Amino acid sequence: MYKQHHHKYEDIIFCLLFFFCLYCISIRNKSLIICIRRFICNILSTSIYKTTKVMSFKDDLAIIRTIKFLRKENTEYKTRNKQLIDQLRNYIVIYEEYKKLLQLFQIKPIKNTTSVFARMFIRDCNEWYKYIIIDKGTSHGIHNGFPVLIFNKQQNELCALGRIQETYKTVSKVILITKSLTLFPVMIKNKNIHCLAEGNDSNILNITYIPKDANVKHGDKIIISSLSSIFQCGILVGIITKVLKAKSGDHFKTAKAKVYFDNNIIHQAIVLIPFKS
Amino acid sequence: MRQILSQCLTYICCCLIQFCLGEYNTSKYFPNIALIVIIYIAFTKGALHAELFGFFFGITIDSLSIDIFGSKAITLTIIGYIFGKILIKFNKDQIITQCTIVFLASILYLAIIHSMYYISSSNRILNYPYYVILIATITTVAFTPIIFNILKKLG
Repeated sequence: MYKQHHHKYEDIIFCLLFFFCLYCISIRNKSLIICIRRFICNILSTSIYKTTKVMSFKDDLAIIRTIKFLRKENTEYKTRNKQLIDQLRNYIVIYEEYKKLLQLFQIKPIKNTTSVFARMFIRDCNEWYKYIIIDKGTSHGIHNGFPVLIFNKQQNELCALGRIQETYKTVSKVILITKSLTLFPVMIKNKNIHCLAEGNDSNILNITYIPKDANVKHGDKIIISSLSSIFQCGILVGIITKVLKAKSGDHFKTAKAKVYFDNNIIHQAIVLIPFKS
Repeated sequence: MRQILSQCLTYICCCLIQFCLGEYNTSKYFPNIALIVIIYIAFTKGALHAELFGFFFGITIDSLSIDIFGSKAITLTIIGYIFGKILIKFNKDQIITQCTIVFLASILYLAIIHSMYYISSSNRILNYPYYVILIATITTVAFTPIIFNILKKLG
């Protein structure tokens, strides 16, 4: 038979312990408690892992390095996340203002687009500056007339490549901006001079309808004009290489511009698809 | 002095067994060693020792686990106190009595823990299927006579 003990303070101690436990439950969500418990759990989880699995010292070091790396990465991501949240907040403010201005001036809103990355897999030598074939088609949401861009590493910007001419289920044919008889409105960057770019079956575009007295120089950048119905305004096209003098009696002069995408080997094209709201 | 050392040793052994094999084991069917030890202490030493052991063991397990902080401490303290008070009326040497008491204690333990999780709107423990809880309880009951004998021999 076991011996039973009785203490006169057991009820009081029980009450004290009970209320202390209740207090512990009430403070369980305090940041300090959470922090301490996480710290203990982190230490314990490593030690428990050791008991269940025989590990070498090298493995331990690898785990510690991984933990350290993950924490560092986590901190970096948190910082980046904060930056993005700030940017998003600013964007929302700007967008609201933009909507108000659109209503005020009754301007047609800019089309929102999503990007589809496509790989070029056919470029015929005879049609080098005319067409390319990309590996994305109607099954990826691509349709005729969509603008196609390419990333220019030197400028670190997107530049115009062409537009979709034919689409099939998994492939599409892109007509390049350098193809002859291709005309699209452009403007000289930072000078607000509107003109037209014309393809020439080479890497040089003919820039026409430049006003005679316009200050256009070698090295000026050509961007897509706001008059374009295919491309978004401001996308890079090329750079002026030569300015021809206007003929007597003419009100316009012409220039030659080298396309930006010629500097890159076309590996990946970006098709801009209108965003369905 | 010997008694204090013995109790400390019991506490450390109990913690090690429960943490290393029970709390962090992949198997959910590990017996609740702490509960059996508390019942044994309630049998032999009375309510005060049982509730103190329950409290210290509970607070340790709460600190080292991710469950609600204080939940196991309060549960084990209550069990230690209640069973320390009522066990005087029973014949403690019989295995059936020991098993019945531990079974009731397990039911009370689960009831309190589940209620606490329910109140705190945390359904972590409630995700366990009932058969898991039942098997865990049966395992605890099955281990009771063995642990009681070990503790009795250890003094």
